[in-house]
Amino acid sequence: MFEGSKISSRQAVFLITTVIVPTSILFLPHMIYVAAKRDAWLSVLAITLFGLGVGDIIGRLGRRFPGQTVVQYSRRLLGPVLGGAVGLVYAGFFIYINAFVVREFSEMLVTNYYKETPQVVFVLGIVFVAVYIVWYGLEVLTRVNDMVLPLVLIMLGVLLITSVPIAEPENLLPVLDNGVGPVLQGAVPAAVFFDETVIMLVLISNLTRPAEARVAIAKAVLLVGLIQLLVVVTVVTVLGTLTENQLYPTLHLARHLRVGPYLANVDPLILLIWILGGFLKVTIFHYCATICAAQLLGLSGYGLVSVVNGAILSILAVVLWEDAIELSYQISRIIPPFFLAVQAGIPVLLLAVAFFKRQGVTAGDRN
Amino acid sequence: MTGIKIIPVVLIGLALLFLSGCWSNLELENRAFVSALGIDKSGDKLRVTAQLLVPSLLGGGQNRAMGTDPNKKNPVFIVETEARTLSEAVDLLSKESGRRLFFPFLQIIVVGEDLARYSILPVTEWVQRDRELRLKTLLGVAVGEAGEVIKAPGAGLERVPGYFLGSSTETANNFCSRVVEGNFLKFIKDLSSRSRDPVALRLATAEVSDQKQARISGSAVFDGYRLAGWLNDRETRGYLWITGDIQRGIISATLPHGESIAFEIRGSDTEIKTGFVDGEPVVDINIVMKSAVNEVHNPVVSLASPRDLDRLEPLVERQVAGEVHAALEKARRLNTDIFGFGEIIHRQHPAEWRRIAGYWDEIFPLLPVQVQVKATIRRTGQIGSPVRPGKPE
Amino acid sequence: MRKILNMILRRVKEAESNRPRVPEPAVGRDKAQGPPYLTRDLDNNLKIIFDIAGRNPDLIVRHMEINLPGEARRCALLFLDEMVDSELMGSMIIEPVLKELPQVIKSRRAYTSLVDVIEKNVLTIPGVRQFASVSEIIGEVLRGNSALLLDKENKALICANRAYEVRSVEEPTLETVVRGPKEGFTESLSTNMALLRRKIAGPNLRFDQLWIGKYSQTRVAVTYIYGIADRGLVEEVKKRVSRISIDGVLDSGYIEQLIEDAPYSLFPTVGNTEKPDVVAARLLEGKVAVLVDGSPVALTVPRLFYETIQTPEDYYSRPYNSSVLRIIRLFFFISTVVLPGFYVAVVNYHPELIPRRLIITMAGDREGVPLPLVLEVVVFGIIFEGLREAGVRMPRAVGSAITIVGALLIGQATVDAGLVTSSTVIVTAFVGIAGFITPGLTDIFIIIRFFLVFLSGVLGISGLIMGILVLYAHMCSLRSFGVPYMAPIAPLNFSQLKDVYIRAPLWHLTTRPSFIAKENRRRMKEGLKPEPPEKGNNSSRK
Repeated sequence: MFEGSKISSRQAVFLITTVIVPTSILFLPHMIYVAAKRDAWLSVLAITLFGLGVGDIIGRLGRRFPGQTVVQYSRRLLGPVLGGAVGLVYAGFFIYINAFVVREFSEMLVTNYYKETPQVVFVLGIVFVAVYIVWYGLEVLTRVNDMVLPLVLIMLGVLLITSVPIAEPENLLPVLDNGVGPVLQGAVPAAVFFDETVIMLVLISNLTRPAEARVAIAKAVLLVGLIQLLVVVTVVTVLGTLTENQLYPTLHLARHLRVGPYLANVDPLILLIWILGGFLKVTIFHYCATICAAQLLGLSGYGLVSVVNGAILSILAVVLWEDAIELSYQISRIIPPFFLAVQAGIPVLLLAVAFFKRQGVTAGDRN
Repeated sequence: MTGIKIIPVVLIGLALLFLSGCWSNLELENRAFVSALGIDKSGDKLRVTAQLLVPSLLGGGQNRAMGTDPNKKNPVFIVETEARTLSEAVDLLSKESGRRLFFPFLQIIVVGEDLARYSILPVTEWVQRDRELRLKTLLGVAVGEAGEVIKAPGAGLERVPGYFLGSSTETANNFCSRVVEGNFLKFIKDLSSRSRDPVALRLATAEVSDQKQARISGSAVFDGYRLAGWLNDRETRGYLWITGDIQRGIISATLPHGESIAFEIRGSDTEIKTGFVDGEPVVDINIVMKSAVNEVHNPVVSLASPRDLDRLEPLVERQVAGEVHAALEKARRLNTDIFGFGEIIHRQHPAEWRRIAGYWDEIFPLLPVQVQVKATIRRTGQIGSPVRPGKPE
Repeated sequence: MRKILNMILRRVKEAESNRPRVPEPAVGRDKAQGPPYLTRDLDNNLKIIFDIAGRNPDLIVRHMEINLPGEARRCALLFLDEMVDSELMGSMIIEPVLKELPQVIKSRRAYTSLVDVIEKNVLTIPGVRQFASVSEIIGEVLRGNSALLLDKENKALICANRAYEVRSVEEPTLETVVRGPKEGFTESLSTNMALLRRKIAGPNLRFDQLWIGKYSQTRVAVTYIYGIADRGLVEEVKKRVSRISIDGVLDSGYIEQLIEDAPYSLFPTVGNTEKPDVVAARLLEGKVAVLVDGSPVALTVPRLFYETIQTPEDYYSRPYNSSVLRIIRLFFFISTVVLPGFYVAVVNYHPELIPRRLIITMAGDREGVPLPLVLEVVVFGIIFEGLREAGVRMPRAVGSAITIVGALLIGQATVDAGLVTSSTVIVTAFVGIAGFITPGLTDIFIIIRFFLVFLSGVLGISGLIMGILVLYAHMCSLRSFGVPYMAPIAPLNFSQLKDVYIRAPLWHLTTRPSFIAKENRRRMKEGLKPEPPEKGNNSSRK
């Protein structure tokens, strides 16, 4: 534990959900559909299982080192040099993936609603909000999340329910027309999203009861899996083959949403509640990045780190990718192996080392 | 963590925002609301005709009192331009109208016959890519020039011609079942489907109370991006029976002695079964419908006993089957699988479909289709049998 | 300083425990210069007193002589003009001392202290105490009591015959109710304490008195219910109040601003009310109240956000109506803050959200309006707030006339002249009136509103969302006396929500809010749900 905040395991579930849901419902349906076609929902099931596995490893790792973040215990496990390197990887990873998210969201805002506004304004706006909330600490962050996540889920629920009348379930047939291959292929980019439980490598240290971490992560992954399943099924049944060339199919659903005969075109509202979720996602990643960086540098406070981090984040988000296509190409084609290595590979390694070195608290040690 | 640090941070954030100005901000009075858009082919360019609303003539601002005056001038403004692409045309139209065109309230896009026969691709592409356009916008094909349809000033009971087309389609969809759904969403979905061919609304102009007015009649059948032909009203109804989109409406049939009888559709269900006979696909269409007698033009028809109603049922069934066959016949002639039979075969027999998918164009015109209609008459309205004259003839 | 204060505290406590019912405690404050105690010489004593208090025209000395056997003992009655009940003084102090004392002394052969005799055998006035400290005596006299000084005695008798003009108990002007008690606090602390006593008669109601203000010497009572209020909270309140060192306290607002948790925040973290029943209800929840002499407004802490959407009537009427009203209040609260920004964002950035028929009318309205929409909203909002303020400050007789002129003429005329669109007028008027639904926060709304309007003007709805997020994060970060400001909404506590958005039936609210009352949580027996008599007993009553 670095910053005094304590969160309950329910709040941890909420945090994980907020980290995964806003972007995954927006980008995943298209990504999965391109590979898996009408069997996209099977891909979601596959990823959920995978996510459960990775989440469990992260949970076990956290339980062994209660009150410590990955930066702290990797040093203990691997020595100062190698462990420091692992810490650096995570600090960098959180900034990088956050740059990704910031860019994705600002990109979507600009293409869909604010053509004339320079993208950098949105980047700065999002980062400003993130820095502002992180500056208050994790406790406030989770409290804000306690309000935002239900809003996001309610919005999503309204969207899904109003889509039911125009859904054509036969769009899901035939099942497994092209075999299992495409299903797994579709699951690969999606796995990156579902392994964002990686934030728990940092946040477990703030849990009031670290022992519940595994259960919390599992609950969160299942919740996210369920939401994702509903979204993918709805998208495919409503839009059918159209899903393939729509970059934001879920947003498309929102465009057709009509509440009664008079209230049409409510998609900006839907979208912006979504953005609320996106903002919080960025904030959570920013918090993790900041904590990792501060611990890596051996600082006792993190206020300044957060600001510096925010500046780096803004610059990266603007500079790293040239255009929207490069962004979506990278995330679905190039990035997944690297991200998976950080999200799943390193935790597995760390757990193995901890197991063989008999480091940390094991189940037997606790009473 | 005292409050004093927040204030400068917030102020700096605000100041940053303000210094940079308001980019996407556009005042309401600088937007031109488009109600309908016509697109024609003119050489290798596109001619775009836009119907813009004039808000001050539609009951806003100081003219509000005047706004209720039914005799005042047309509340729409028509602008026209030619350009290579639609986006460019929109730019030019903004110049012509002095305001930026704003599309979310656009009701219908009408494509001229020439352009539709050539390719409708520019339109679907633009509609999908642009952020302001909605796929719920209607797509119509004009018989002749789209510009003529857009310029026709008649608006029915509405004030704006474009909105008349919207409400007319909606009513026809919900209460009469006489026109296809006709929006871009359905159109593009069918277009991107492996075997299904899309259908759009057919528009023509007619003289209504001394004014030219656009009206919807029948539908336009596409083969991919190209207009293949038209369905008339009867064939359109047949198309709706097969796709199961019949909601409500009236069927007029002929009594044995030549008089007319009207039935009201009170719900229907269409089931399509596909199968293979000797390796060749066959299609069975089963339509189950409930109806009610609405109007009888022969006083001797008895509606007193259940058997009387049973005797009337074949009349409806024959009429419906006739409509369905008419639609099938036209689709076969145009060689367009507007009903999505291919897709249903794919869904029901994935393995066989793979075998025949490549030849579907050749199979479809010869596809054997069985049509079964089962109608039940449930009600006869406020009276039973019609009143017979008491005086013997 | 702290030592003295602690001493005061201790003494206050002693006084409290000795005589819980008599509101005449010891005086304590900075020592004035001069000898601390009375001498045995009356002239000298008077001189000491006048040296400290000054020869003020309202400080009156009544010289008397008592005929004791063998001597005529001089004595003096010291009091403030118009601050004492002179009738009471004549009949219960002067008369007994002059007439009865000689006889009492005559009948008793020996006595140890003349002061004791006067106190115990002679004076018929209820409140009497002996004092030796000069500063205390001066304090008592300046507070409106009379001091009886005797020659050759080094103690004075303080008689409680304070009486001055106070406003009678009236219905509060700010918080009006339809159902429930209508009385409100007055400017007199004693009256206010009595009003509270009348609500909570049990012995656990405690008033801990403090004197704040170097020159004003204002009495401040930290009020709580012993056994319900968290002890740490009571100590914290006392600590913060006694920390105050100021020249004068003229209203509870001074105390409020000096004990707040977040003085820079827009949101007040100290509650206030004019109604004794509200204070009583909050005390029963485990909160602590601060009453200030001279102020009809009592402070209550901790103050949480959800109090904004509560009114005392919620508990007096049946649950359905109160629950619906609470949700309406919340909705109006959110609208009054967010609506102007939302309006700007929707009209200028996302007009597709507005129904087709409405947008055309609005677009027609906008033609010819010279100001951009953001400025239109801001300018008209300022005009509205200005008119409202003028309406409050206006002499009452013209106030209503001006308000009507302002609302009708300005609204109608500006729309007709094409200066403002009618939708802006509607939004501004609605927002302005909706703001009154949560009186406690009205003064901060305009700032938040304009903050959000500007953000919306720059970035549309996403700007609005950013603003709301920043605002909400700020609200979540606040604490009022250790309790999270947004509790129990954030941190979310499902079981406590029964008295936030809705009000559960009274028989269901069996426990106090867990985040306020930490130890003693039960407020009602379980199972008090009223039920009809058992079947079979319907016909004959038991």
